[in-house]
Amino acid sequence: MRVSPPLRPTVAALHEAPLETSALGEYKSKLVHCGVAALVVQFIFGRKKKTPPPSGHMIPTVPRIKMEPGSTYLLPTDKPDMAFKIFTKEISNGATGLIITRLHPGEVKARFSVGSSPIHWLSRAFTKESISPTNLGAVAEQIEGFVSKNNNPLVLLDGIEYLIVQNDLQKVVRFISSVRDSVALHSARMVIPFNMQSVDESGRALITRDLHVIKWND
Amino acid sequence: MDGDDSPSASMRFYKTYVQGFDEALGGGIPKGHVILVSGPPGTMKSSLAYNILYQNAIREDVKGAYLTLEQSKSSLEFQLSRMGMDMERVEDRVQIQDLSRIRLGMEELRGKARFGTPAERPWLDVLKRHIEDVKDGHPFELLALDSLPVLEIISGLRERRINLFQFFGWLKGLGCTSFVISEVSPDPNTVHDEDFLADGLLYLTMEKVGGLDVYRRIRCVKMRGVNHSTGIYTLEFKEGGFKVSQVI
Repeated sequence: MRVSPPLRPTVAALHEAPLETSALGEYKSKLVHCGVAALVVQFIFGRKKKTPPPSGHMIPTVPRIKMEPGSTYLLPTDKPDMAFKIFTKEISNGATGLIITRLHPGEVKARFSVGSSPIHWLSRAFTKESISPTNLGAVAEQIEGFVSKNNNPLVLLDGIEYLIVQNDLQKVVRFISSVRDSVALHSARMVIPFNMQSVDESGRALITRDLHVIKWND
Repeated sequence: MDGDDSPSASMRFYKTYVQGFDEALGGGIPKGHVILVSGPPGTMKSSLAYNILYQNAIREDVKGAYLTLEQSKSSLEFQLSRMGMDMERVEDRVQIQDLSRIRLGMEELRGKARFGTPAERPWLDVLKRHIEDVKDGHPFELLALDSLPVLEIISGLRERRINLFQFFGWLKGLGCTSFVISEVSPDPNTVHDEDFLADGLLYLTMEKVGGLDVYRRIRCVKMRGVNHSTGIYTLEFKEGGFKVSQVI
């Protein structure tokens, strides 16, 4: 349990005080009782307050970013949740969204308010909504087709780590460059959640080279 | 300027109706061209050729004839119907001519009587006359011939390049646009006589990707008179139609 700052000097002072007289001892005893009582009060009433998680991290909030038309943004994160929050916020403000993701479409719809945004599932499964992770050209075509036909288009491209595993880094860098060009050409916007720890330093440099990297506290 | 006076402006083009590929071809395939559709087994050469005839019949009311020398008509129809093509819908416009039976009969005769002599030429003449007869009764604009290797075997073309030159010239003289299906070795560096003789060459192949997946690829190697892309595309048949996407 964390100790609140005002109590700390008093209690600490008691422990540090020399035991010379009985009066002093009695005084010390009273102060210890007061301190314990204060701690109990703090424990009971303080529980209602929001306390930071044990790790010391703050609960993440949606980063305040202005996504400019024609730009692609990379969000450093190990989970796509925040990118979905950015996405849902933007479509609630009028953007037309497309989702390419590793999450199953059913899970996406259950967890996030994505409305009627089309969802393409990066998977080797044979379903209508799946798209093969090794057919990068087909993924790029989906994005190109979407951004060229819709107003205020916004693309969420999740699963880059999976694409790297299924293909290779160079191919995925070429793919990102290709879809980034489509986004720029049609004044669309795209957000890419990406775990920066999934590649080495040179890989990070290649992937982030032409993207706007969002700075935030994950 | 009132308009484009260039020869290509007045030239008729037939679309392949392969989504994304007609743009790569600069609009489609010029009328009167002899196109070689070439590739190893399993690359959907026959399906692609028939689909071009099928789509042009449905969308442009263009008549076509598909001559099969190898696969029987019933087998071909089964294959195409499984792909979602409704043959009855175009039966008055696309004729499937099953010559596989004629071929078998001719081979039998040749085996008994004159195998190995130059007398094979009559078979080619019979085939030509048959195609001309079909055209008289069903004036087709698009013709698919499946396949060149079988034609060579049963005709026993001795001087291959000269005979192919004459045959391709005869096809052009028909006044239709022809698709000749050919099988080639997977070695892309090997150049065949027919590659030079044809007006256009569509090369199909299969490529292993990522260790587990195999994709069909298509490339327009040449198309006379057309400023086409020479790039390689992924060829897919999805939701009742062919489509291409770029290869990354």
